Amino acid sequence: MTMMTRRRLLGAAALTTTAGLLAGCGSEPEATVPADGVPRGKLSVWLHQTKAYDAVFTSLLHSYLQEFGGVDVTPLYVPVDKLDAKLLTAFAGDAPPDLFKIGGWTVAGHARKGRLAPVIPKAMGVSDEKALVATYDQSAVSSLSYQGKLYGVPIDYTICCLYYRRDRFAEAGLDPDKPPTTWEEVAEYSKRLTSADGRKVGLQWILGNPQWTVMQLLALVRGKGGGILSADAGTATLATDAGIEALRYYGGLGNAKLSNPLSGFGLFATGEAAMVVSGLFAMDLFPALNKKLVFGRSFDIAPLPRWDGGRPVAPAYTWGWAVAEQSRLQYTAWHFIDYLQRADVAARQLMDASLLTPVKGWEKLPSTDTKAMEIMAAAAPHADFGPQTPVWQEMAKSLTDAADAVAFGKKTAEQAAADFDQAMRRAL
Amino acid sequence: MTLAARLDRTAPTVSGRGQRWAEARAGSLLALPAAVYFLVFWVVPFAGAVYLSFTSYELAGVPEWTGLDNYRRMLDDPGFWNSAEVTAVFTVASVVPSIVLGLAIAVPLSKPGRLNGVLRALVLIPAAMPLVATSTVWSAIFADHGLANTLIGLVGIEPKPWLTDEGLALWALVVMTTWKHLGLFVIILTAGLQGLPSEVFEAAALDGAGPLRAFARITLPLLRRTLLFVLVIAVIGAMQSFVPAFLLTKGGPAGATEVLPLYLWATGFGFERMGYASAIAMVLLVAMLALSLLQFGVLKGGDDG
Repeated sequence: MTMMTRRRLLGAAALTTTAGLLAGCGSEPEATVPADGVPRGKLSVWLHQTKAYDAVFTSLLHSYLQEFGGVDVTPLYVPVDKLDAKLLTAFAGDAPPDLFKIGGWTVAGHARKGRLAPVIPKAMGVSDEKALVATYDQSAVSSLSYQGKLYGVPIDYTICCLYYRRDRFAEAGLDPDKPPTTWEEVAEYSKRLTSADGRKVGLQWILGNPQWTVMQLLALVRGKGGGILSADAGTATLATDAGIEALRYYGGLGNAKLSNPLSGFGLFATGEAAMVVSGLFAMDLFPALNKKLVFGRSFDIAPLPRWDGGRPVAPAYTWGWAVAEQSRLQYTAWHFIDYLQRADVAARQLMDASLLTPVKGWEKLPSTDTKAMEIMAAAAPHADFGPQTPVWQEMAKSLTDAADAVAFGKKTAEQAAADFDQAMRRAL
Repeated sequence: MTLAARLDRTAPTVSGRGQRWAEARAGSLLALPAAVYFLVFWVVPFAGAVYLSFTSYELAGVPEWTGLDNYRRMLDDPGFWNSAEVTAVFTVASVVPSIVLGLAIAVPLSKPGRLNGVLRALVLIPAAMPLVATSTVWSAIFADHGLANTLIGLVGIEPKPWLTDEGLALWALVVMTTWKHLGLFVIILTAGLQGLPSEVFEAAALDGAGPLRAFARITLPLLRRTLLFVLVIAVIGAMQSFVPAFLLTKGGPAGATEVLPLYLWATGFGFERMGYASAIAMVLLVAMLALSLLQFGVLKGGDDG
């Protein structure tokens, strides 16, 4: 290669690089609300995989692209247990997608760090945030707010209920039509449902899973009048009578050593566990794990028990659609989200994918899971989303450590509660 | 004109000093890519991690200098101490059997013979398999109806919840890790054994030393440097072990398998406390360096290799 050729090559490379840089700098962020109100641009979307929802989403995507020709959408399907980590990596690397599904429990943490864009009501066809909030279930939508600002709209909403095996109840001489209504009854039933070798149990907790540990303990602690964190989420309050009693109860049920890759969910499917606490998604999950399981015949659902004489608590969670603060197409992103959240779409999602969008009046949406919807509707006034804190992951991990330590007999309830409070003093 | 004469005429005529300078320049140029790679991918990240360990950085905004706070916090963090203890137990429990078994297998395999060649290749298979794949295989082996329970069932032992019993889970990981690394250690030790001078053993045999005595008095002392190498890489590997605990137990049950690298990862990428995670990484590095120096001190000497 001659010197001249080399120079030309270097020059071309420098030109290409400069052009690329200039092109990157030159792409203007979309105005908050474009003058013509028309969405345009190329959106990247991350969502978690469920076959049933993919079918709904894909057809919606095609109709949106037909209706709004100036928009292109590139979806990326991420396994549900990997989505949080992938999003975090994308944020840390300054390369988040424009819009994404996000667990409501992580909103405060991301919002505090300025990663999420507040909703643009005009892109969603309403005049202001108040009007937008009014179109959803109040408690579900408020779980996606942080410091008074709304950062997402809810999808995939669930309120926990009690799943129980009718066949196991019948085997143990219990009436399958009379599931336990109090935690005291759950303990009593569990004794009768537990085999001598401990390989079959009554209620089995979902152990080692931070999200489910929070929801399970939330029901027990709040039902006793206590809390995991204080009302302002500023201090830990597990080392109280309510917290310690809840932990003691938690450690006294089930068999922590029972093994299944899907924890309590898997043990319920095999019949080793006769009861578990779970959400709406489990209506499809259990028959998928065990083809012999038929709802109403071999398994059933009931409202989540409460303490005898205590107030009802219904642990709940929701996923949401959110937009990255770094997105240059925030208006278009919220516009597309609005398209996904229409009332007619919500009905279709529930029917086809068992995915509940908590739009106002969701209780009346037609569903194949009628009983589950009735139970959720009755529990909705008591829906509790747990502590909303920017250090939710750390809180949930510490709570899981405490609860598991009690369940495995490594610590007393008092020690575990004190350790949790101490860990939270460092984190909060 | 002959070829040699032609080459002689075209060769540059430089003085001794000039030649050294030319060689040094060529050497520097050749080393430059490796030096740049080392600087960009080792020195800069390492310096960054050292700096971060003195800051509060939550994967957003700018790191805030906090001095020794992260190191002080470690003293008061039960999660850190639990992980340090788990790591210490895991390291001892996986390194000792790996080396003892490795040596026991390497001694017969170091003898000449076609079959031994085949066996040496076979014993290396686990080490050549990707760690993620072997972890998945072992999760099936430790499953309720897996191979582990089938085997103990043959001798009348009840099935065990290998990965969900906090008393068993760490030992299940130890078995898997030992199986994974044993082959590599066998090959290294075999090479070390084959390099030992045969005349020393012949002289010992003439003097009436039995095989056990020769092994203890001749083989082991001569094999010191190979053993030192195996010990150092085994200890460092065990202390950095992340994948088996991440894939098989996620650190559970009840923190029983939460090794330090897993705790570090959760702190950095789960809780987004990158400053604190960097401080834990520095402590782990210092611990590994100290242990390596200790091993060098104890096992220095030896004539093999």
